[in-house]
This record gives sequence, structure tokens and C-alpha cells, in this order.
Amino acid sequence: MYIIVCVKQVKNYNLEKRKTSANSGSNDMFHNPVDLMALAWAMKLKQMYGFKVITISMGPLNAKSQVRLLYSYGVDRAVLLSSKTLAGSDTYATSYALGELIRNYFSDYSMILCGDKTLDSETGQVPHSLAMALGVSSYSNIVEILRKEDCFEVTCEVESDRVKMTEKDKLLCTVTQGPKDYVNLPAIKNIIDSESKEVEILTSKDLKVKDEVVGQKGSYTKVISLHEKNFVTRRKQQNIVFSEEKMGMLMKVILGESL
Amino acid sequence: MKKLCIFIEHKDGVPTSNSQKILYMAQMLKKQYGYRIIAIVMEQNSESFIEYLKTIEVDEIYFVTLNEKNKLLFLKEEIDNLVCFLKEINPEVAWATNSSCYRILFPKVAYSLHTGLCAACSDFKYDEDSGRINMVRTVFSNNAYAQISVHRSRPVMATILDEKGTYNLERNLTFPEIHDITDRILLIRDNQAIKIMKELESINLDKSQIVIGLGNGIHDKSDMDLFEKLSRLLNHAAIGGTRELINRQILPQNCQIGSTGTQIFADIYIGFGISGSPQHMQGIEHVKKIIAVNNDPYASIFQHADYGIVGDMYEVANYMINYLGGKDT
Ligand SMILES: Cc1cc2nc3c(=O)[nH]c(=O)nc-3n(C[C@H](O)[C@H](O)[C@H](O)COP(=O)(O)OP(=O)(O)OC[C@H]3O[C@@H](n4cnc5c(N)ncnc54)[C@H](O)[C@@H]3O)c2cc1C
Repeated sequence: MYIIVCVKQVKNYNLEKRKTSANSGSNDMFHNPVDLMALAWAMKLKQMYGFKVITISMGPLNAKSQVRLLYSYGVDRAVLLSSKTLAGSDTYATSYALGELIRNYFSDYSMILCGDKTLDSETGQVPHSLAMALGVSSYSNIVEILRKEDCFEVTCEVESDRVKMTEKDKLLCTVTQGPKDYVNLPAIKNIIDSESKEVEILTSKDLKVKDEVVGQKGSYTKVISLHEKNFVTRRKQQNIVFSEEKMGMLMKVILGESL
Repeated sequence: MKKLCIFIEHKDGVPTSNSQKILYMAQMLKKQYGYRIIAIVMEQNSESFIEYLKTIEVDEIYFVTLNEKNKLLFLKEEIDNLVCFLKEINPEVAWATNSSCYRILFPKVAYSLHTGLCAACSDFKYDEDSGRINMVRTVFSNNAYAQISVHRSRPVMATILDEKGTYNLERNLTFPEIHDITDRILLIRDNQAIKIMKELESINLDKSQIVIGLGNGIHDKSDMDLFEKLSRLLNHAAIGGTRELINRQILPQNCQIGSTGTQIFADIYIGFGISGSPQHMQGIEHVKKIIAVNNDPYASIFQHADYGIVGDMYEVANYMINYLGGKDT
């Protein structure tokens, strides 16, 4: 019985701008924050029902030290799928590769948890495509997960409703927030233990698929041109520095007509 | 003839602004390049919307009547049915609104059709050489537009960003064919498994006249009381904010304003403690009057605001509350 959590290491582009290429390392990567919230749900389920928790990440090899840190949250196994051939994957190719990884090595999972989107691309497509790749249902905006007999009972927010679903089969859930009553912080003991733990590295070879179906070659979209976007510069007046009398005047101007 | 499928939505029989934009783009594609427009409506109570669609330039209408509020919960088999249906139609292009429904449904459909999906696009470009439709979207981290091509598969799938313009749609000259495909797509659902619990309070960010935007300048969740008070005094202005506040769990996801949140169209936007990132600015570019409060005189939001106040957001908010409190009673 285990739960898979997909955790992406995203790049800190601001940091990257400030750095020269000479000293770029894994320090400019961090875990996609909402993926850690997905991890918090998994750890809560581990505590309540005894599931094991496996994290899966896909990215460059220098993400390894970041991935190892996932052990400090109490993760049982941390897996990094990394290959040059996987670089440049679009959402389709990413979902495909993750799907093959899970199908080949972790097919006995009970549930997959994902953050709803990543900081660096924000498309939010991968979880739902991954669900399709594995042929399971996916639910988003999860606010509660319970285990009832051999089913999961998940509650999700659908537009302005809360909907409760019972699912007997495997399923994939995306979250935008962590569980209300559970905080997921690295424990000292786990931090120490994590140093002796190894990240399990798998490559595209291990996926047992042809190179043509992954990475850039396996992608169905490509960016063909880029040009800059500018916003309107609107302000004609100088900024005012906050003071009571200046504000009084401004309030009339600002709100005069509308109140 | 090349076909274009558009998945559109309505509110009380009127197309959402996002759907109007899609209809407009579709009509351009038809007019200029001869595409056949196939509108697909999957909603409840769509009768009057379909009546409306008959009057404007679309060639075919397919509809699925949902009988419950479970639009976001299409079952696996239902998605397979939809995929089969699309395979039969075999369109060149398929567009949908950027609503929460299609943000979930489209990745699934695209994956099953083994084709490329471009998220949150604002426009399309016709490539004269290849005769292909490319999609245009902003790429956030470098504040640029990208043209994306789906180069080796069909259809070109995309969700289209809502930009709330006014669109003059062409009236129809011929009567579109109408098909009910509800039974083809939907399964009879086991209602035991789906329980609708309670209506959450819905937040009308995109409809409010005055919107208060909050940013990272806020210290603590408890400070929300102050801004809620201000909101009440400003005719119940809606409160939204930057993604930072979603990350800090001070505001819920549906309060995020920006390129990956809601676009707002208010008369007045008052932004407190917001630096003015391009992602956030994209969400407020249609606001009539932008007022920015920031204690950093060099904050970039000032360049894009109509009024700039350099000061502590708490002081300014308290001042406004006093000012309005006097006037309000
Ligand atoms: C792919 C992608 C998509 C994104 N989408 C969105 C989106 O849709 N919406 C969005 O908002 N962001 C989005 N972001 C995030 C965005 O890049 C910025 O990080 C975010 O908007 C910054 O939020 P902020 O202005 O609140 O925070 P900060 O940049 O931290 O700014 C805080 C500001 O508050 C001021 N301040 C601090 N204390 C006070 C005080 N006491 N009084 C007055 N002022 C004070 C500071 O001077 C500073 O200017 C996205 C990012 C990426 C990479």
C-alpha cells in the first residue's frame, strides 16, 4: 500500500539572472511549493492509515540533492527520473514518461497526489494527462481525503460546491492547499537520516521505450517564436507620499464618483 | 472543408465573455480561411443558449445536457466517449474556454488523442507556408509572447484566455444543424458516489466594481480583518491578491488575480503591498483606475498605476477606513 507524490524541482529564474553560469548548481532549484502540499496530504495519510510514501521527480541530475531532502519529510523512497533524452518534454511527453515510470515500477500504488500546477509553467496539464496515461480518474481541488474500508472518500471543491466522491479504484488527486490539520515539517531525526539515504535514479532506458517517444521528440507542441510584451504605462501624476492632507484630496479624486 | 470545434459555455443563456472571444476567433478563422465552425455545449439548462447560437454564424451545434452540477467530474468512460466523438468529427483545430472545467478536461482529451495542447492562449496565427494554425500565449517568466505550433498531430488544441473585450459576432445566414449527443457521451451516474455538500460562498472578483488587491506586504493572515473592514466600507469591494498570498495560504486560490488567476475588469483597483509583477499586472490591465500603495517608491507597480501612494499599507488602509467611516454613517 503506497501513495505516489509527484514533486517537481523548479528553477529559480531570478537567482539565475544574478548568477554567472560558472556557479550554477542545484542551489537554484527548489521544490514546487504546492507539490509539498501534496506531500503533506500523503504524509497525513501515512500517519492515519500506514501508507508508504514514494516521491517521483523528473528533472536534471543536479536536482538530486534537492530530491534527497525529501527524505527529511519522512518519505520512504525518493525517485528521480533523469536523462538527457527527457529534456525539452512538453506536457504530453512529461505525462507519458511519468506514466511509463509508474506503470513499470510502481504500478501497485493506491493513489497519486500532485500539486495542481508548477511555479515555472503553470499550465496545470500534467496531472490530468498523467491520469489519462494511467487510465485512472483524477479529481482536483481536494479538501479532504479519507479511507473508508477499501475505498477512498475524497471531497473536492467544484466551482462553488463541495462534492464528495467515493472511489474504489486507483485515483489521482491534485491539491491547491495542504490538509488543514496537519503540518508537514522536516523532523530532525529524518534530516539526519536523510543524509545516509540515496535517491533512486532511473533513466529513460529504464522506461523501456524508444527515445523517439520521449523528450523533445515525443512532444506534440513546440515554441516557434518569442517576442516581448509591454504593459501600458499609465501614470501621469507623481506619486504622493502618504500624509493625511494629501490623502484627503486623493480620496475624493479616487472615490468621488463611485461612492 | 477544415473543421474547428469550439467548446463554449454560457451563463443564463448568454455566452460567457470567454466564449464570446472564442466565437469571435472562430468566425475569423471561418471568414478568412474557410473553416467550418462546430460548437459544442456541455452544460445544464442550455436551451436558450442554443437558441442564441442559432442566430449567429456557426455551422453545427452539438450539445450534452448535464443534469447535475458535476461538470468537473466527468468519468473516465465519459471522456473516452468524448474522445471517440472528436475522432469522428476529426477537426483541424479544437478550442475551449479557460474555465476550470476545460482546464481539466482538455489535457485529458489531448492526451487521449495524442496531440498537442497549448494552455491559456490569447490569439492564433495562420502560417501561410504550412497552412497550419499556431497558437499565441504569453510566457510568464520572461514577459513575452510565444508562438506555439502543434507540428505533427491533429487537432491543434488550445484553451483560450478570457480577455473580456467586446466582440461583434456575425449573424447567421444559414440555419446550423443541431445534434443532441447527451446519451452518447454521458453514462447513467451512480448518484450515491457523488454527493453535493454545500454551496461555498462564491467570490465575484471579475464582476465587482471596486477590487482590493493584497500583496506580500501583508504581515499576517489576521490582518485580513482590516482589509475586510475596508471592503465593507467600499460597497463590499471584492478582495483578491497576488499569488504570494495564495502560497502563504492567506487567500484561497480563487482569489488570485493575474495571468494564472482571474482577470478583473473593475472600475477601481486598489493594490496594497504589491510589487507589480507582469503576471499580476496582466490580471488588472483592463481596470479603469489603478491605485497602488507601496512603501517602496521604486516599486514597478507605480509605473502602471494611475495613482501612486508611497506609504505603509496599514497606515493608508487605516486612513481610508477612517475617511470612509466618517462619510459612511
Ligand atoms: C508562471 C508564473 C505565473 C504567475 N502567475 C501569477 C498570477 O497570476 N498572479 C500573481 O499575482 N502572481 C503570479 N506569479 C507570481 C509573480 O511573479 C510574483 O511573484 C507575485 O505577483 C508577487 O507578489 P507580490 O507583489 O505580492 O509580492 P512581492 O513581489 O514580494 O511584493 C511585495 C511588495 O510589498 C511592498 N511592501 C512590503 N511591506 C509593505 C508595507 N508595509 N506597506 C506597503 N508596501 C509594502 C514591497 O515594497 C513589495 O513591493 C506568477 C509567477 C510565475 C512564475
